[in-house]
Amino acid sequence: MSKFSKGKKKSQPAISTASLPDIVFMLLFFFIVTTIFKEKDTKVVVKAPLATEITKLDRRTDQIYYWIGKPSNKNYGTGYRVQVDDALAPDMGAIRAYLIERRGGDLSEVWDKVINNFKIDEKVNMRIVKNVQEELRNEDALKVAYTLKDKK
Amino acid sequence: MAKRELEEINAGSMADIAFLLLIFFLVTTTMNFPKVLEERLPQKIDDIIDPPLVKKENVLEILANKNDQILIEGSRGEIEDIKDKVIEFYVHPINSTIWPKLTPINESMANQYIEKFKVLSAQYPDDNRYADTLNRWEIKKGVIDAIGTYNEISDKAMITIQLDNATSFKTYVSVLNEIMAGINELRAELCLAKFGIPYNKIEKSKVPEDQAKVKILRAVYPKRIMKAKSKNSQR
Repeated sequence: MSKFSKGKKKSQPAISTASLPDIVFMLLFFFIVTTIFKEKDTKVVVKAPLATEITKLDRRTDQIYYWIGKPSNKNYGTGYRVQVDDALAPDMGAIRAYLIERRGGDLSEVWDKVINNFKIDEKVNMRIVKNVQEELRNEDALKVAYTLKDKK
Repeated sequence: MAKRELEEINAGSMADIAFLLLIFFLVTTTMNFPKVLEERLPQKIDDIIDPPLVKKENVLEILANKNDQILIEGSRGEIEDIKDKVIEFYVHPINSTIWPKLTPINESMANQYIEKFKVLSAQYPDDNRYADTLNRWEIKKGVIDAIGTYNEISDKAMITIQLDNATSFKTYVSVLNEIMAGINELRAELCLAKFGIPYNKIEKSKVPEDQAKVKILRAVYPKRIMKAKSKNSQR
């Protein structure tokens, strides 16, 4: 050791970290610009089917999310469950109740601006999908979109 | 040490702050934009009415059973066959008897009908039907102005999807996807031929001129998909 540092007591100058914040800020801005917020916490596991004819949805569109899949937590059961926005729906009637709560008192044409975004597991059978959509039709919420995976 | 006049502000913690923010955004955001297939549910009708009789040639019937097998117009088919059938459904020889009626629309015809229904709707302002028909012919006139004479598919033509309760969502999506693939291919072809631009460039555009073009393409190849009530699943 003493062989190398013989005579000289001068210590190495520290590497300047002054530019580190700049680099990190650059990364930060990159992520702010290129990503979007996760919409909701999902309580069910969904493997969406593949499709080719899908289009991007305007991210500012008012949306209600529906997930249909098996709960990730076994305490919620092992069958397919429907999650509407934040909560698992205990039954189909709860979906309509949620829609009524969402639109408020007036029966105006609110539903023309709202897209009901479905994320459905590929194995779910159409009976469940039909039952959920029947609730939407009861409330006249007719705009539906299915979030799917791009095949490309 | 007289040289030390300027005390440097320690910027070391700045990086920590930025890192914290960065990690926050990494965790709470997601890269992939959701892509969707849109659909409009049919309006709820309270009282049960008998469905109007439709001619067989006006309907492209696609059926998916509980085992996710596909029946197209009564014969066993694969998912991939749907696209070609859809294209044939919209574009076929005019004198065909197995596909929906195609009517060539030209300018003099459109003008004639517009005149006729203008008079009628002025005469009977209470009757919406005349105004509706006038409106429809004005749309057709707009299409002719943009792309010239075209064959109009019968307004009773539609594609029906019949599903079993046990049909999987995956199958439904692939059927819907193939139908849209067929329609989009026709629209894209027409778009390239008449406007010289790819359809996917203008499809979601917010520019009014592009939206007008999309409207024209949609008028020529309308998307009319109906989810029919499933018959008994024994079939």
